[in-house]
Amino acid sequence: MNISKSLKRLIYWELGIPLTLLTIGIYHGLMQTIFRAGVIHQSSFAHLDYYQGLTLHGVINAVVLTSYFAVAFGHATITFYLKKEPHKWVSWLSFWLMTIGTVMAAWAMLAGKASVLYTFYPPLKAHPLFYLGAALLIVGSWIPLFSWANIYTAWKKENPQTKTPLAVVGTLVNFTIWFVCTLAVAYEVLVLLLPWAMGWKATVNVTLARTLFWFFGHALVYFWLLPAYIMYYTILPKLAGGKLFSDLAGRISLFLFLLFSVPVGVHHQFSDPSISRGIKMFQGLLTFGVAVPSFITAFTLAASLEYAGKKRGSKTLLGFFAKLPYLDASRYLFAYLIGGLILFIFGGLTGIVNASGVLNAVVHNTAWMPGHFHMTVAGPVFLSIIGMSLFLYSGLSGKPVFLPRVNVIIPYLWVIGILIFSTGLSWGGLIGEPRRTNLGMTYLNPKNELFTPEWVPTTMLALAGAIIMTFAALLFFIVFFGTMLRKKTAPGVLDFPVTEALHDEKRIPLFDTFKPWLLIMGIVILLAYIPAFINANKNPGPGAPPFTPANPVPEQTAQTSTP
Amino acid sequence: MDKPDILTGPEKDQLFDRNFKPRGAIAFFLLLVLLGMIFWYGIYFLMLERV
Amino acid sequence: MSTLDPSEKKVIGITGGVLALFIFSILYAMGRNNELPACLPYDKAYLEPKVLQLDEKTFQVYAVAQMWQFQPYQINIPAGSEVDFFVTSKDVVHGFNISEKNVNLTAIYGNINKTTVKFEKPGIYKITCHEYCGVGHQAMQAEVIVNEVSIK
Repeated sequence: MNISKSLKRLIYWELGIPLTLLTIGIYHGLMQTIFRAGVIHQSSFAHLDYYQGLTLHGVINAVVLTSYFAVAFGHATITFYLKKEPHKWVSWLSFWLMTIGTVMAAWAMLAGKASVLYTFYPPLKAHPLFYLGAALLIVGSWIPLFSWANIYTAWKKENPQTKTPLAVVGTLVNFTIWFVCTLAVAYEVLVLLLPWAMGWKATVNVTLARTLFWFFGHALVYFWLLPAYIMYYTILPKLAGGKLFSDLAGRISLFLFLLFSVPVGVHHQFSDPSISRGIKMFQGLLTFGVAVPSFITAFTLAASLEYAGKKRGSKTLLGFFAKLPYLDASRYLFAYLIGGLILFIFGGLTGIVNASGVLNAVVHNTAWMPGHFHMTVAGPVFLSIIGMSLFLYSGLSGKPVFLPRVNVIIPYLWVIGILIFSTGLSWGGLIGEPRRTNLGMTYLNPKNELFTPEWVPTTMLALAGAIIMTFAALLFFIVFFGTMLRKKTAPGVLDFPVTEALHDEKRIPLFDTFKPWLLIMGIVILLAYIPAFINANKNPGPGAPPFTPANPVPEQTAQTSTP
Repeated sequence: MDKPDILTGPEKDQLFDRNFKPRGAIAFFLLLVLLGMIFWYGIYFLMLERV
Repeated sequence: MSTLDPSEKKVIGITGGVLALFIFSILYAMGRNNELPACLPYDKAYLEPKVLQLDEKTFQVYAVAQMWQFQPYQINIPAGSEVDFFVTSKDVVHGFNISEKNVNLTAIYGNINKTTVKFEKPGIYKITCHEYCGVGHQAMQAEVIVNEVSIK
């Protein structure tokens, strides 16, 4: 499909900016494992402090990269499937808000004034531009949803009996989840934190801030994941040479995500005070609910791949796995997608452990946690983002991929790296190794009284894995930026492989309409969160003054008087 | 008129589609669930041991 | 749902069954006196770190986390003791983790967290801060020393 120059350019910038920043994000990822393994015993390296680097790593990789990509991929899917481009100035406005916000937050982090990590829990305080920048990035990413929703409603009027394309359902579900959940963090940032960070308010209710953040924070991971799911359902089977086993299963999964992505955030607060046990358990139960669509997806994709493998001649029960185009350089997107699925087996299963109430005490805030989420956000999410970014760029620009045979092995190198890395972290976590900690200064420093030799092999494994991952990432940067420098050899078009469904399933109105699902989504969120917000407002005592990372004495504001 | 023993082209595809049963996928899924239970109960018993 | 393939339905059933199994296992474990942290109303009395001995084998510890230490720093108790930990923070959010005993709490300003642990085996149990709390975070560790009970 031919698209306008304006939309092409927009997508280029929305892919290019985060991938460029990703170089910083990957650097800091590697550095953390170097600090943590005790290779160096310092608080900073090359003028970048450990916790500053940790903040940059989390914000760039998990917020900036993912949000820009989701918007760009959303523009692409809506345009391709509904055959209409999003509103021009709305889309560019969205881009500029996101970019100005990113620049503000990046400045604050690089200047060392926002070493608060991507969760920015108060009473640790960052520079006001960090909060403002984050708010702009998020608000900017909302805007395209309204244009897409308009296009969709018009399309529906013209095509009342046609099933909405699965990719479109996915994009609209994803951004609905995003809009709803970010309302809470926007409130936290603009109403609770920004005035407090600027000294206009003396205290902040920490529990309320955390509850608002996690209303956002869990749904955030589905915002990351759903673009990958769209690719799994609509692209992967075609690339494998097969068909999608059940289109309906895909729709059911997407609507289940719509219901269960948001009302589960309290499972990140199992160890918090002031939130009642009842609410923790209820939201834990709902979290089991959100696991269901992933299991449906696992089966449906396996069935689709089995179809493809059998078509290519596999005979034994599990033999179909061997008959897939893993190393076909002309279908490199298959490699990126399957790599993510391999990691997601482990990432998803460990996630269920985390959600299980009392089991959480074994793993919360230990190294197990990053072990888990590098097999999810740094697994299917990351690989689908970089693979699809390359695919979109190459297609739209008409430039062939640089070093295609290197390109196709990058995902497998990454998978090996992550598996080693996450094994080290998971093992370490089970023997008490904390996350978010510069271990090299104390716990992994043989000369320090806190030295914990049990964590030497675990941090070494993580380091080994990280080196492999960094190498894979480096190869990707060479491939991507190398492709940008190549000459155009074909017309630049927007094109996706479109997967056929195996069974010709009739359109079922219930699974082709949003209203009933939105209603249920709203009801469940209210049931799950009204009690939680009441707890967060009523139970805590006094609010907290602001603290900066280097100072145990709280910052004095205009309203607080020195004793 | 001779009836062909082997189906060709679209009829072969249709027969393949109709006869396709995702047995391998069920096997994969059961293994996935088994692995999940191993992880889960592993942590569960570790937790009980520490009580 | 009538056009959903039967194997998909089987899959949903198996998933539901396994999750139900997990739920029952969790409930069983909670019955074994191993619960999520309790919800306590705020009282500034908990800001004074102390160890209270209620009887020979029952203790209460008011543990206060601050940048960058726990107070009390060292807690001595005999083996077989049951301890109630009341945890709060004087400043930013801190973690409170005794990994060998499933103690995993968040210490938050203006809030009181509580859990109960039984220390059967003698040894040194480290309390580690596992939530980023500023530049001194990696040095924040305290200990519970569980002493062998001598046979008289």
